[in-house]
Amino acid sequence: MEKISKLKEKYFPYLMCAPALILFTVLIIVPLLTGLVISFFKWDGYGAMTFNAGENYLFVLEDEVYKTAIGNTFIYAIAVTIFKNIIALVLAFILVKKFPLKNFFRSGIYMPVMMSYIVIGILWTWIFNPTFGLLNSFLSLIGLDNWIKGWLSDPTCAMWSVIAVDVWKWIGYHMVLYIAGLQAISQDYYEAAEIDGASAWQKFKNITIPLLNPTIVVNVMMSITGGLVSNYDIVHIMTDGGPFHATEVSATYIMRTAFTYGNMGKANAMTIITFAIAFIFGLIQLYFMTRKESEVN
Amino acid sequence: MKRIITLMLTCLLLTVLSGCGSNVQESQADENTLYFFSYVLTDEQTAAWEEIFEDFEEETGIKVEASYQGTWSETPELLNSMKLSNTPVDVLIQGVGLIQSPLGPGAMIKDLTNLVDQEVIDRYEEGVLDSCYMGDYLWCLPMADGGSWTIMYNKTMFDELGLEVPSTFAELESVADTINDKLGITPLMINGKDTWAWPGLYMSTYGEATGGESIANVESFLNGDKTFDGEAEIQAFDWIADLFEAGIMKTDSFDTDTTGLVASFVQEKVAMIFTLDSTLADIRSANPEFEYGVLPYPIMDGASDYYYGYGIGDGSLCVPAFIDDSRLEMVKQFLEFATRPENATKVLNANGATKFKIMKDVENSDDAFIQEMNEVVTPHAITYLDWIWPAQINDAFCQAIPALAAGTIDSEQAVQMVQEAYETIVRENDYIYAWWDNFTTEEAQMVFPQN
Repeated sequence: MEKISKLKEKYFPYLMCAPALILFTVLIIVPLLTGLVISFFKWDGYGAMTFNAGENYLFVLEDEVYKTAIGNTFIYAIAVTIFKNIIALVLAFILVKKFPLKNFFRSGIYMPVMMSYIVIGILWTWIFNPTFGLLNSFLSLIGLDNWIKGWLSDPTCAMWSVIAVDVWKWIGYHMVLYIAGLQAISQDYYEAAEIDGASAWQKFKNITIPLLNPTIVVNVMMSITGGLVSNYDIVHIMTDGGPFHATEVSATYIMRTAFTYGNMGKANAMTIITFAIAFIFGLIQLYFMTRKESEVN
Repeated sequence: MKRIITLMLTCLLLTVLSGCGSNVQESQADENTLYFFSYVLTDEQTAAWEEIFEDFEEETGIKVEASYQGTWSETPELLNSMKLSNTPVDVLIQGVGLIQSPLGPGAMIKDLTNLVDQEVIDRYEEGVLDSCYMGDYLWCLPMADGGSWTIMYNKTMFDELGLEVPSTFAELESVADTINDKLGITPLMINGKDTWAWPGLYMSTYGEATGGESIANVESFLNGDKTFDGEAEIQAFDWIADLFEAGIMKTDSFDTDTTGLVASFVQEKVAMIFTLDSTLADIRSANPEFEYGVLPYPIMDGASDYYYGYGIGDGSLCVPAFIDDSRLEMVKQFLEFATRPENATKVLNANGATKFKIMKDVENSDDAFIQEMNEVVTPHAITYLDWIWPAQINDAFCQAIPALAAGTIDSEQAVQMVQEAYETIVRENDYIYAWWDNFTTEEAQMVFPQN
């Protein structure tokens, strides 16, 4: 009886983890390995698969559009990470204080988080519309006619327009996390610092930032991961990679290669390469961010 | 208790997951039921088909089980899923464009040449089935209205400004100057945000540059017999650039989609739109009082006639290649029944009368605008080039034309982009234009009926 009890104690944690592990294996590991296998074949998704060794990887490396897409993906990920976190942190500092209509502003800023990318994409496409869009009409109204442009058609600013929409959608989410992080910092530290004559900047630098670091790590990780791999919906709806691949990100190009061009092998090779780049980038980022945290501790 | 619940949930999860993998099963096809698959149609079209199914059952005793899923562009993936899961499909609705690529080359569609009697072929108007034949094989039977590119103009605005309908580039330029000077709005707009729209312009300019030989030229290019960098190819791009340089079109086309195009037109923010005729319903719905007309495509300097891309073959009846040959007799009966004039009328006119005359004994619309369009467009129609060239080539056009219009590249670079796209698909996809001659033995047995 005691033996059975010990066995239960030993294996129960594994049993508890099993559903999540099974789901992770079936939904993430198996498709990834299947993709890896397909990346070594020439396949249109319908007919027979032909083994072509590593040819697909050579095609990917020769593909200028893919290189542009990878570059754009990183610009997108880094830009949204910087803007989302800086703006969200500033808003959190403002909205963590007590003032009238605080909850109204918090809810208002959070609201876009609950809207789907489809709705937001269409909404902002119309706002950016060059003929009757609200943005250009507003600029014209206030006399800034020379600022009027094709926000989604001008290759120099199309990517930044899409980035702005993504930042607008998600700052509410990051702001809530920062507010929670700020509220968790004990006021005792600030009071002690004030007694020691610390300035506002010194308090921010030496108390707020170090104690908020776990929240910053989570926010940065989430926004950079989102920027790297979850940018398909918004880019697809707003520009579909155009104009002239100016907003092409790896996800839109992979989807086009797979389902429009019918080149499953090359699309899977791109996926594997993108995954490898994002994985290495994520590891480096995690190393530096957690190293800083341990140094502070 | 918690442990028992956890154990039960784990077992349940494993059971569900193991069920997901069991896709290899025998087809559930009933020998007295015909399985019909289509993308989601309008309510009127669905009702028309349901009526045909009932009549077919009454006459033959064969029940039709219909399923409507996804959009037209999702059909290849859905059909592939059905093939892999052995879901029975005997007849499906699909367009010529997706048959050309990817369904045809992917050996997903059956050759109908010997499955359709001459009596059925004779029901169609002369030339209507041309795009349904690829490599002398018949792949589908049209059962929906045709479509075409056209330029619509605001009649009221033209009258108020005292403008004549232009027929040459010089006349169009003069009209555009007046509109720019007097109203300050964009003279001509295209829904360029939908990148598929740009090749529509090229179909017109390339038609003029080749003297109506654009189809033959493109086929020759896709066969590898010629490169895409001749005088006509460059000229056609130059003529598109001219539209922008002359101030006839502006960069606002780049981020205007179909809805934006219609909105701009009916709100009088643009004077003319280059559009598919399918936007007509949206224009009428947005403002029933709005008055518009059809322009001939401007004849460019050095050209002798004008052309518009058009196609009949969207919404056609096809047969999946993976169907068992024992079911072909039933399919043959259905194709014959559905294309009878009294039945085809129901589907073809489900969304209002058809614009183009498709079948001999099915009347098309007597609407005044449609009549005008049939006079201006139909005699100058050439098959959509994007029904002939593969998606990668089309994408090259979709990128090259706006880049050219924006002045980012010139016409020589534009033709080079198209040529490179062709060379890429030959290298990476083993592309062969004559895909019907390129099946493996196993695929050929599926595609071509054995008896």
